[in-house]
This record gives sequence, structure tokens and C-alpha cells, in this order.
Amino acid sequence: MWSVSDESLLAGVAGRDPDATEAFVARFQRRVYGLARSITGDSVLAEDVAQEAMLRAWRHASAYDPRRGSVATWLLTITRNLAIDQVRVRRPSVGDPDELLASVLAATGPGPAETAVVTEQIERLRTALQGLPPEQRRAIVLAGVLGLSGREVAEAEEIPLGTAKTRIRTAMLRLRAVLAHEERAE
Amino acid sequence: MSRECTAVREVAPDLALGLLDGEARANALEHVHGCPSCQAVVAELSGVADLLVQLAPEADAPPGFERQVLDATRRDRRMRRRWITTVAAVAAAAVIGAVAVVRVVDAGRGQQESAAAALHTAPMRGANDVKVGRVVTTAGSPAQAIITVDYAVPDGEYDLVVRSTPGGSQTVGAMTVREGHGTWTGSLSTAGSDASITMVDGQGTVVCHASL
Repeated sequence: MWSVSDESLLAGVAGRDPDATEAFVARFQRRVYGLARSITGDSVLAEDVAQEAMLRAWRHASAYDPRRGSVATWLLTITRNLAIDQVRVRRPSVGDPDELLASVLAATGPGPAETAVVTEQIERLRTALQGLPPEQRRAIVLAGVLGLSGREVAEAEEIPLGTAKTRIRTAMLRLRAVLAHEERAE
Repeated sequence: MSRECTAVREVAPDLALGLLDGEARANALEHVHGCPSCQAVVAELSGVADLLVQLAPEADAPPGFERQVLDATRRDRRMRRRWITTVAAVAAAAVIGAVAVVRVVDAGRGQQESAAAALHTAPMRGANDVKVGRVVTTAGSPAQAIITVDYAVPDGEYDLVVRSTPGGSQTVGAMTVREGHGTWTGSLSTAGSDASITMVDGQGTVVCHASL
């Protein structure tokens, strides 16, 4: 089952195949739980969020549209939205950005199910992140990984909203430029 | 590059990250739809955004996580089947009732009339007005009804009590909640104004209610 692509596995989930569902949960549980815990900073809450994310993916598997992103992105976006909702209800801000940043930069990358191409892209992105000025790096991790809005980034960083937006936008453009340059160089 | 392109390029990173909403998002998307060069920029930025969410560190889920998720999918599937079956039963009862109405009307007036088998759905609400289930009823009184709870109601036995003015309170049945889920089907008298259905536990506490 591990050699099956994410898309095929999700198709099996949509068809209510119990083996596919089990394999899907096994394949993504560490990433879903890891993201939920990074955002909530609470293992119990993260477990609830991760379970709900898996259940939603199971319910809405047939609505997945590959043109709008990979299965991993789709599932992790569901997880991120659920986790952010929980955090917004329970407390005004996420955990320590520095701690998160360190774990993002040190992460070992996607599991064995990811294709070599995706793994390579993620590693390139991680390297490109390290090349950003620290304030831009923090802003883009808060917005891009944790899903914080511009206003929430501004509050977390104690900077004006305009400055937060500029940091996020500049970081995105630099990351895009680095990745595009590396792709052209190959 | 047009003035619109310049404006969209400025917010393109926000668009890719999902940080734009409302009118700003609609305007940007409208332009991107008809502008291939802006489309290419947004597509590249969206690729970056898709990778960013995958940077979060992995972590071992707690023991039993996988089993709990799989159990939840099985429960969800059973509930959906039961829900579809019972809604179909209520709808069938409504159609039977409507046919009976048509026949009575036909016999009395000698003319063709029809009665719509309208279904009404209302949320069951518990503490802090949180939705814990739903009630589906047919038109008329007594109405055929299906009551389902599936969230935040503790396991146990509950009386179902209809309250109305001037009808007062009347226990119409009982529901057992197991593993957080419970369903009841039966007839409800909704005559009078302000009719509502409540679920009452063994201590006489109302755990949830719905307006009929």
C-alpha cells in the first residue's frame, strides 16, 4: 500500500475502502499530528484536531480536486484551518515563533510516501528560508506554515500591520525567485 | 504591464497564501482569470505556499490514534446510513399522509387538490446554544418526527418532552444515547404556539431543546 500514490489512496478512501482508509491514516498521521501540535502547542488539543482533520478528509475525500494542490497540501490545509480555529477560540496567539522556526528549519522532511521531486522541493524551500533575513523568515513561517493572518502576524511580532504585510510579501517573492532560479539552473 | 496587473502583483503573495478575502480576493481572482501573465505569477507563488504548509515538523501521534480515527469513520458511516434510512422513512410517512389528505379532500369536495409533504428541520441546541443534533418533522399535527443527537450529549437515557402553550408538557418518548449518538422516531403533537421538544435526563435537567 505504501507504493500507491497519495491520489490513488485518497480515491480508495472516497470509495470507502477500509484498507485504503487505514493506509491513508497511517501514511499521514505524523504530519497531521505534527502540524496540529506545532500550531496549538498542546498535545491533547492537537490529538483532537488531528482526529477531526482525518475524519473530515474521510468525509470529503470525493471532493478533492488535484488541480488545486497535492493531497498532502489539501489535508494539511484542513488540519491547519481546524487548529487555527481552536487556537483563536482558546487563546489569542500561537506558541513561541522561535521554537517553531527552529523545528521547521530542522525538520527531516516528508515521510517515505513523498516522491523524490517533492522531497527535493521541500528541502530547497527550507534552504531558501534560511537565506532570508530573520524577520522575513519569521513572518513567512507564521503566515505560511501556521496560517496566521497579516494582522495576527503583526500582533505576534509586535509590528505595524503594514510592516507585517511587507515582510510576508517580500519573503514570498524571494522564495519564489530562489526556487525558480534553481529550477532554471537544472 | 497594466495598472491592474501592478495592483494584482502586489497582493499576489497574499492571494497565494489565502490571506485575501472578500472584495479584494474577488477582484484579484477576476483579473487573474483573464490575465495569463498574472496567472503564471500566482501559480508559482501558490506552489511556494503549497510547499510551506508541508514544512511543519512531523510528530508521533499518541498511541491508539489510528484506531480512534478508524473507529470514528465507522461510527460516522453507521450514523449516516441510519440518518438516510430514517429521513427516508419520515419522508415516506409524509407522502402517505399527503396522499390520505388528498383522498379525504377529493371525497369531500370532489375536486383535485394536492398537499405538499413538507419537511421541517430544526437544530437541537444544548448548553451555550451549541448545536448537538437535529429534529426533522413532517407538516401537520401530530407530525412524524426523527430526532438525532450526535454531539456533546452524555451517554444515558433521556425523556423527550414536548412543551407548548397552552398544551403544557407531555412526555412523548425516550431516547438512549450510546457512544455520543442517539436517534428517536415517532409522532409529536405540535399544536399550540411556541411548541418545543426537550431532552430531559434522569435528574430532570434539560440537556437540549429544539423549536418545532
